[in-house]
Amino acid sequence: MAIKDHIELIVPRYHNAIEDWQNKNFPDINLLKKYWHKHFPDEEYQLCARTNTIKNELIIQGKHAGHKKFTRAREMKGSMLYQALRIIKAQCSTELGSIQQHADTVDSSVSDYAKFSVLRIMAEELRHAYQMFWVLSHDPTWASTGDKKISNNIMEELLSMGTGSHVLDAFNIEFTDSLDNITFAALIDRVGKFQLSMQEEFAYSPMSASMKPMLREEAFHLKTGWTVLKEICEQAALGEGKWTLDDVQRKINVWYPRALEMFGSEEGGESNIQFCFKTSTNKEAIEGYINEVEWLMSSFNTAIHKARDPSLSKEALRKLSQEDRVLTLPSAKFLRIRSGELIQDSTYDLDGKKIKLEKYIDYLKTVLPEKFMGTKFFTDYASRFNQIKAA
Amino acid sequence: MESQFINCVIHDEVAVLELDDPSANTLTYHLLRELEDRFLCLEGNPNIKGIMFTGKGEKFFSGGVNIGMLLTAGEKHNSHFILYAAEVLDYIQSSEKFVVAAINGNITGGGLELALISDHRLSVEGDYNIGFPEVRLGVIPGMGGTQRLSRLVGPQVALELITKGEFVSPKNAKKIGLVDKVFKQENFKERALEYAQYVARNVPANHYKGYEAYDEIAAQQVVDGLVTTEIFNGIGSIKLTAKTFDTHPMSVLIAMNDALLSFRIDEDIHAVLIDLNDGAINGVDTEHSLAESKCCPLLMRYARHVFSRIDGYPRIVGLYSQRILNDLEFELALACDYRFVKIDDQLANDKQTLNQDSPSLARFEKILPNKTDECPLNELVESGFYTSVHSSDGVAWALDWLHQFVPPMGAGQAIGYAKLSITRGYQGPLSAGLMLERHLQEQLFVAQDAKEGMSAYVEKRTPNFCGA
Repeated sequence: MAIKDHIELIVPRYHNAIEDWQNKNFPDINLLKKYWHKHFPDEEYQLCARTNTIKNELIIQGKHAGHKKFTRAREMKGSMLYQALRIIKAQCSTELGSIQQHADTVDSSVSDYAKFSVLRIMAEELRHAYQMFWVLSHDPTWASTGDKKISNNIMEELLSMGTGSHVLDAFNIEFTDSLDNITFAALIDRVGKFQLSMQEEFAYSPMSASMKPMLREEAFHLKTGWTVLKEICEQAALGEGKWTLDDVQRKINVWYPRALEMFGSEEGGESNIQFCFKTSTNKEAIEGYINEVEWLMSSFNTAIHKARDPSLSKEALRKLSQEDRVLTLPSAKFLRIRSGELIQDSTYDLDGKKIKLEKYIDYLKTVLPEKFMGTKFFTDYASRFNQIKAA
Repeated sequence: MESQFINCVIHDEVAVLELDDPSANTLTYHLLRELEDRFLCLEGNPNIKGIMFTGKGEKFFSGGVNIGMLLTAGEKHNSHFILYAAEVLDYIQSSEKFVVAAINGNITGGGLELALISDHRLSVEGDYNIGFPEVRLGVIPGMGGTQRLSRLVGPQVALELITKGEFVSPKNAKKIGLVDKVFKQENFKERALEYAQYVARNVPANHYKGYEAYDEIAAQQVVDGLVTTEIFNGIGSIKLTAKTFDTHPMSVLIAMNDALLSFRIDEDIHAVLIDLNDGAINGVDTEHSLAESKCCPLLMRYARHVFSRIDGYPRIVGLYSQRILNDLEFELALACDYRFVKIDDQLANDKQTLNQDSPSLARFEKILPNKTDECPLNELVESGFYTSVHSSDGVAWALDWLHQFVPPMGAGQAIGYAKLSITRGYQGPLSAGLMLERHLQEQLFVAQDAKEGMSAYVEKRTPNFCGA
């Protein structure tokens, strides 16, 4: 039998601050609340923190393996404490950032269901942010670092972030149309699922106890991304709908590299294992993610071929989908914009072949959405090329 | 002692301290606290002649100060952290034990500053980074790096290394004199240890004579209950409670040091009062304590390290007593900024012993001219060394007196910096003091309190300082 979540509210100061943030960044929450039961009759929504049982009472790996999971922040010291704070901050930043991104384009969704699904995703992301605020605010021992305001400062900083100032690049890109909402849910939220799953064993138990309810909600986000994007692909295969398959491919070309970057450097993640914040290294997590996304692409390709010829047998469909991959994943080297890396070393095409620096921006124009090229994120990126050329 | 970040293994006369904080063995407040405690234990062990630092794993000796910590913690915490880190490094460098850094991998920023305080730097061959990248982060090596590096490799080489923020290989580090020896990768740590043991064998047997074994005391850290702390409207009170000779003075000093450090990183505390009314550093028997400290250089050394922390504490520190102080306590009084004493007729003529060999007496050369080894308390009050307390509750009186330094009445940061400029500036040449003064003033002019103070002056109102 499933164990019910334990529900808590955070201190009024931050509860009210999140509600203010919600009114400013997510006014459509009222519309969602009004029609919630029409679209999602079996679910309830409440802005609150939810915790549930943890998988293991003991820390399963690393430096503190065998020790009881830490219930108080003051039990974590040194790099461990600051790394825990960084992960919580990054997690919360992704939740708030995605709401700000979704808000711009949710109105132009392909259907009423798609629109309310995205609004539900936004509401649940807000609850996840609330959850991280609970992790930071319910435990007064974060102040054991000597900086009494350390967790308060992080919460204030999070509330002041906007698109462009979030921790991870994927959350600093403005959406240009509602295809972004859906591609983002399909590709970026799947990274979220990986991160949350890895954090189920987090050595600080308030964090690990937060993961089960968050993962349950994340499943709806993945389902929305998958089903709605599949629907868009089917319509596009017939020449119907708002978008073409080329549009979809270009969106994938934007978001897939961002998704890979969210895992961090392929060589990194060792300390997260040592502190038992995550259960896989970055490389292992990336490999798992790529496997899942390849399956996702395969399901889209199958849907496209089936839409084009509904009479195809299952076997013929499978064979055709393998031979004629309409949608593909770019090479893992394509458009990686990692800080600390020289930009001239990042000029790879979709197949992973190196392209000359001076030709790269022109090449990108042929494979990325036109509107994306006008975003601040991309113009900043392009200006770095110009600086190098000028130098 | 519970080990979280420093693994300590003793091999004959050499103790190996291995930094262990995955994945880059970065320096955090917790790691340095453990390092300071651990070093103190080893110093008190006369059988240990040398101490070797190294890093756990093969990739890093240390990646320097934990940037994540600096980004997450507040500005005040960070400035106190840097001050604290510099103090720990100064303390280790001034030790009579010889110190070896076995550089097993990347060593950058604060990690290299730790190696620079060592007497010998041994590195493993390989393709890794040695250097100070601080300027690339918009800061400078601030724990002695600019000073110690320029004295080691010469100012020109130091300038190039630090201003470019570039790294050198172990081979080039050897060439410029930054490391003394480069060993092959195979069994590097064992080879470095053999080298350290070879040096240890050459230390004369009686080199550490007089150093009593305080490792047990420090290791047990029996400091609970030796001081109590409280906060009264922005003033931190440290009350010594040890009364008998059963308590070792080292334990009291460790407890007091802990309290001072926790107050220093608390941005809501703007002044500190050390209360000797109900306790003492070593009982109240002056002669006994004097004899003890003279036969134990380590006790005096550690005491002066703690007192120097008060001297460089960027806040006003007061001391309250109502009796004659023993020699350690008098050293403490010399390090404090204001001294309060409650005396009656009998106590007024009692004589306080002045440690004429104390380096801190220089601060009082104009206040205590021509004083002999002993001086009646009433004369110390008349000279201005002590402020006399006229109240039945002397501690409350002293706390109330210190409130003038606490916001909103006092501009806490300006007061702390004025103190630093005087106490630290006075210790070096005039040019260094002037430079320190200008630097502190520059920082204060952008502070909120400076704007408030000047606005209040123009508007002819009482300033409302916030301490920032």
